[in-house]
Amino acid sequence: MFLLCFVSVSIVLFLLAAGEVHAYLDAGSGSMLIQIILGGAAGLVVILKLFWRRILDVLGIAKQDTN
Amino acid sequence: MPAVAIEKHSAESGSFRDRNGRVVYTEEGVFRLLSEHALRQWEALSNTVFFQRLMSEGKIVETERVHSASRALTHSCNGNWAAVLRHQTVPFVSYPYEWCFSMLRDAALLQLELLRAALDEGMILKDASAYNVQWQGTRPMFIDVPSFEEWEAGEPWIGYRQFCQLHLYPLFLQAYKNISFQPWLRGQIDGIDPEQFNRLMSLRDLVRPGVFSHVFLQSKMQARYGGADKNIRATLKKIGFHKNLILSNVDRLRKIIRHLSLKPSQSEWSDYERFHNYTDDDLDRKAAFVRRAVHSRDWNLAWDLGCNTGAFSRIASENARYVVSMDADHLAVERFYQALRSEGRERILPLVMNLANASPDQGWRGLERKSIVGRGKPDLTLCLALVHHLVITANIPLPELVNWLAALGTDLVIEFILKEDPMVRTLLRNKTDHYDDYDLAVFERCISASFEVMERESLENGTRILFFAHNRSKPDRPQLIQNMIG
Repeated sequence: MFLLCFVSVSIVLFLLAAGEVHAYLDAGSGSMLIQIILGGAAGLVVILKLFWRRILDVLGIAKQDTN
Repeated sequence: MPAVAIEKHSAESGSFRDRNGRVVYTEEGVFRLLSEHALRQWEALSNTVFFQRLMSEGKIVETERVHSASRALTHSCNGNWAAVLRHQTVPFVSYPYEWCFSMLRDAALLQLELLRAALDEGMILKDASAYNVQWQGTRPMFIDVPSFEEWEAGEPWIGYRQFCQLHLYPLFLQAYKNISFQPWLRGQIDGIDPEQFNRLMSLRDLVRPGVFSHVFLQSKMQARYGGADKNIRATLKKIGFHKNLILSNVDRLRKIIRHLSLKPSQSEWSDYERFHNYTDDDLDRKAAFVRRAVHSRDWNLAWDLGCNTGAFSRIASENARYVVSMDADHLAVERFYQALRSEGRERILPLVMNLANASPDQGWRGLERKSIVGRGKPDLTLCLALVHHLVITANIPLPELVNWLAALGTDLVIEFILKEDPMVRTLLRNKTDHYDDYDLAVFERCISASFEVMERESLENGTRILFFAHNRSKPDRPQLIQNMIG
């Protein structure tokens, strides 16, 4: 289960846009990402959403992303 | 609320990191200046139900908006501030590196409770600094009201990492590794980071509640993705980071923290009350002596140095507005705190403090965290069964110690224990006795130089002597009641 989540989150990273994290404190990229895993069942939904986007991308039927 | 026309005010020197506000002290109390942005957040906050409820429960410091603040205030600190808030004052400021285990734990649970209550009404705590909690005796109070902000849908919990660094890991350090967290927090102003803490975890530790997720995984994630030049926050928002992710994480953290406890471990001082060598009769006489001194006049702030399990702090609180009890032994402070907490006491604050190396000024230019004496000087200090520890164990010259006490401007109830006494002989074993200054005649000379001895009593065959002394640098108090038994 954890391994699945861990692997899934790795995939997330390929979808991320470039930019700067500006925050009052150092939120930590890894610390934000881990919250998806720590979210339990709700986190799975987020991960599945990401998988789905990726699949659509690969199949070439994704809408143009307006970043 | 009448117009607040404050002419003399001073900015809190340590309040500069948050660009949206400043804390200012005046004769009328503690005020907070808000920027436009902070004002909008305040307006959202004051309309919530949870804020009013938690304030009335004493979990958030009492705060109200000052509608007719003077121009002097709104234009102070190089700003044109949009609004002014007034806060209830904290009797004595303290820091997480002075708290015992259960104090840090209760502070952590309070933060999580507030976070959850805020999320239920569309707000969030933007950070999770342990310095946002202060104490009214044993009641923790959240003081950083501007930390509450509107939660933007999809935002992860930004303060999670900080919560771990300043609360979770120090608690784990104590509960799982039996290592005191106070020196770590004092040395590292931001707390213990995940990568560092993970290196302390053994294979055995990985199965302890909370370690695998909050330590191991977080540190691995951070190591892998921390350097990424990507806007993770914005992306998580886009994919819809749901509030439930935060809520379930918070609930799990609460459960983990609630189940943390100290490993039972003996310390010679937390067993003091069972193994001390005062006869019952002498204990009664000592208590009576302290009580007479305490009731000789009203006191604003009393310090009990080397408080151990706090019996004499309790006596001091009978006639002092507030008592700050300090002991170097965190287990003794832990026991005292738990007892006070179960009684709901709010006028005694127990702190872990090594007087030979007391909390100094810290932070940027030494302005953000104050030294212990910079936070409020006592007018009465109890130094019972302590002098021999500082002089013989910590090697602080006796005149030095007395001078320090005198400089505090405090009156004194102090106990001198002679070298022949078993308590001192224990300290001198395995040591060369070069403590020539540790002598009753020297002690009395030092005391008389700066203090006027009001009462003196011998216990235990004359090897333990109590003194109640009035500080010569203080003006004579007309209300000093002359009921001393000679």
